[in-house]
Amino acid sequence: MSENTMLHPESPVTGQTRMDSAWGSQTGDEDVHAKVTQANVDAGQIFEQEYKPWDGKLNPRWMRNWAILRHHLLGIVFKGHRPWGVITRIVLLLIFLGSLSSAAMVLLSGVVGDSTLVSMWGINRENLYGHVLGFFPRNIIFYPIIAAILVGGMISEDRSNGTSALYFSRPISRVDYTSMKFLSIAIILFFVIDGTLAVYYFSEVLVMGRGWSWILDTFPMFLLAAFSGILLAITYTSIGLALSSLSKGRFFPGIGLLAVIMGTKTLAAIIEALFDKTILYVISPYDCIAHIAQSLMSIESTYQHPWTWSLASIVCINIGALYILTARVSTLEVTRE
Amino acid sequence: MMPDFTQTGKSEDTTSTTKDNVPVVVFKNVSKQYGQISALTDISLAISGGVTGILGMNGAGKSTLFKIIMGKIRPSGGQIRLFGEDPWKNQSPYARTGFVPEHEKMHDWMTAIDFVTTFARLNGMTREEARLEAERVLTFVELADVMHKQIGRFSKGMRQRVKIAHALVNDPDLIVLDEPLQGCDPLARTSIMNVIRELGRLGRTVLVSSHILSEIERITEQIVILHKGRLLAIGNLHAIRDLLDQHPHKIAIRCEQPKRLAKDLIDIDEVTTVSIPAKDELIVETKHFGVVHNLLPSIIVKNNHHVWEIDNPDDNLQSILEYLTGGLP
Amino acid sequence: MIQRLEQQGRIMVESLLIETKNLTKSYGPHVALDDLNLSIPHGATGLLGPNGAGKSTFLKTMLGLIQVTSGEGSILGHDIRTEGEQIRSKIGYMPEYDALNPKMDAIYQVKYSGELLGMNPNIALSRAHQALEYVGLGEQRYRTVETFSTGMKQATKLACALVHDPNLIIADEPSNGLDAKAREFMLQTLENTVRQGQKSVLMASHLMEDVERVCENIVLLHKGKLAAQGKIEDLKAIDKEVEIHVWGHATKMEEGLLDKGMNVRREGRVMRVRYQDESTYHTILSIAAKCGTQIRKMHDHEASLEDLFLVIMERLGYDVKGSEALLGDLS
Repeated sequence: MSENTMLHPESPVTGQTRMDSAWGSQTGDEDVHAKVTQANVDAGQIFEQEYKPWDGKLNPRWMRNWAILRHHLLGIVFKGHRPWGVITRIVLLLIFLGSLSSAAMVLLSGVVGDSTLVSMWGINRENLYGHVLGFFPRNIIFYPIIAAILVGGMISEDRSNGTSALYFSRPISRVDYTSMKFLSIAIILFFVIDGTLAVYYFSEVLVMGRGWSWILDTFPMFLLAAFSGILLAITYTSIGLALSSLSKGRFFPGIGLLAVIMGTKTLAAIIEALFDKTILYVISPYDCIAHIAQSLMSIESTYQHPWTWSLASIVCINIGALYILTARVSTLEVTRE
Repeated sequence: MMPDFTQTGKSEDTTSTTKDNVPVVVFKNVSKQYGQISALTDISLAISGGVTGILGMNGAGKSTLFKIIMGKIRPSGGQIRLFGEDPWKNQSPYARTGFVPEHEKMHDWMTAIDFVTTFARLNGMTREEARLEAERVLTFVELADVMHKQIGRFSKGMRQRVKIAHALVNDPDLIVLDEPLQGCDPLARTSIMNVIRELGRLGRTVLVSSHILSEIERITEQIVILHKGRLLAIGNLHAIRDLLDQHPHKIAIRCEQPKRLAKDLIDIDEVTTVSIPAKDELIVETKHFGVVHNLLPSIIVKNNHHVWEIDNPDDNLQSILEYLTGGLP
Repeated sequence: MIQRLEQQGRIMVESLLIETKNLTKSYGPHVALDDLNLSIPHGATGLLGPNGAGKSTFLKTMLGLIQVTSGEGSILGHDIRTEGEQIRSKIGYMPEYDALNPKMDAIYQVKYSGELLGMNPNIALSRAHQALEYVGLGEQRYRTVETFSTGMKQATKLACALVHDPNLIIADEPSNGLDAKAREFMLQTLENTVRQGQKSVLMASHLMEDVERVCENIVLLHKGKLAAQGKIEDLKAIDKEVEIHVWGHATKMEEGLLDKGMNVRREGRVMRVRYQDESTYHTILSIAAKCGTQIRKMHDHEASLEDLFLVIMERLGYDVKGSEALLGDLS
């Protein structure tokens, strides 16, 4: 340090005061730039209504129908589709499991290895028949009840909610609507009756190690039983949907279906007990199908009348139900009046 | 030539007075206190015949006023007379009164005619009389074609009209309506306004309260203005406006050559200000509304001014209230 | 009998939104639609008429849902007799009554309504989001419909109708039963859809104020026949009136006007004088000057659609007190 710049305690600051200039200022000759950005005001709750167009393609008819089917079927498990009630889903699950009881018995008997168990629960003509058309517990509890809760609000909800307008103001025909609803119930019933039948059959094949000759022997029976199951599913669906189309409520169709199935059977049973005639069983859908199945599968008939009468009856019942269904669906409204 | 009317509020519309020539509702220095709070202070008024609008914001004292009129509460001070009688615990004036409160539970399951018939029977009529009377009043409120339908299916406006109908049973001389247009759709509003005006034309005394100025303006020119429990003004709204002469009246005129018209109008003594806010508009201010309006048509016609619109921008309830309350809500 | 009020100097529009020729629909002896000849241009049109006038039947024929007895019609260029499916793919219909599953979330309901048109599920979902945002239900889209107020349900129905961006939205009583705020928003949304979205709207309503707000044109049906059709503006121009508020000698004034051959209506101090030409104002003022009457207010009376409706009905010979008569029978 030179003498000039020595710091004395009395005057600690010497020379010029510190000079600072703002960062960025150079000689003053430069081109200075500025930009004012749009003040980003937080609009908060201000609602901007902006119409957004769409120019996608609409898929054809089968896709629309598939959408209806998906809506009803997926709704059982997933959210975002037709809301099935909790109770409905639980009952469906329980009955499905109950329906698998035959397969469970096969597994059990395979594990245990007891031949009496095998002959009791194994695949044979009677047991295949029994899986589909055995009265207790399947046809007094499982299948009627599952059918009843499935048909519950199917058509009636569209009438009471007015959602029929949603369907028919779109390019969905009444035939499409009805068929898809029908299919969705029939498919579920098909799984509960015939799906479990298949599990039953194939678990025997697996557990008992059945060979091809056995399969060749028993498969026709399996098919016939499955066919009867389809008949059952279709018939219950027809009657149930017809009832659902008649009412506006959720419970009437289900209870009505049970009443029809049980009531007709009971009435016919009473007549049989009193007069020893089985003819009245033609009014009972279950018995008609049972009768047909019995004759198809060469099981001893419990009925006095020819099976063709039962066939005719079941065809009539289905036609009648479908007629009511289509007539009522055609009254579902889009506009008022 | 001076016209032979005064500015104290008589228009060509004359309404008949009540049968006995006694004012229907009289308040003399009425006050009502609830503990420390003064709901009404020193209210004096006399109402008779025609439709009177009771105006005031919520809390101004309208409901208290109505409760006193309907005999539900007693004034803390002052006197009230209904048809010349003290209504406190006295049923007789109420035989001639119909009340349409703001909120009332209606029996939704009943049909309109059953509801009114039942009410009429409760008033001592025979079944036949009651039925006829119910038909009469329901027709009066224009519900004739739906009187056999359930009240539960009516719109808000129709329900209001049923309420009004049942208050009209026995043809009362005094009808009191508390916020009758509340929540009604535009059609119902028009319908109810028509009914109220018609009642006034028939000579009944109708009191209507509302806090919506534009609605009252469409119904009547006779008003009572309440503010914080006090009576601010009573009478014909134009007359009231005239009395507020510290606020000069404005007359707005739309014409082709405002400057030319301005020159002619400024010559009138009573005109204090002339302004030209737009190229086709002229605003004149005066403390002598009537005088200027008297001269206006002849001036326009004589000097061939092309005028297509005349308006009084501050001769309305909104302005009156602002001027009276100093712009307070 | 007014069959159709022609618009003054109307330029022929090449493509009309809806066109019908001698459209007739009978149910046995009852004629629901009687020889309708409609020309509805693109834009917003109000469909007016009492219950029983044939509005619902008309809408059903337009949607291709019922067969016409005779005559023809086209909507968006499609024949209503044969192309029902295409029509319903291009239209969004917003029903009057409940049309939603109460237990479904709004978003899934709108998505399903898109899928029912043939939209791919994921596209339907994204459009559902857009539609619900547009109608102001962005925050509520995951709530079930049963928790919604009436206004929200209406908005959801509108979203269902808008999901596929249709060229025409048919709204059936869209503001019915809504409180002031919800009504305002619904009308604003419809207006926006017409102006910003450039869509056409056919709005059936008995609330004239609402129709006037959203629509430029109207079609009035009565007992199956066409009572009036045209632009609201043009229809109003037919009977323009000048309204005056007088003070003093009102009766003398009225007589003076009548003497001069003016058409006058009077209610106390208020009079309405039929507008003839620019000189009408001068005539009014000169008579006032002569009678010594003050003209406190004078202005062109802007007829509301309600007034227009009453005039039309009167001319048709019906003693109708208000457009509430459009509600007719409560169903």
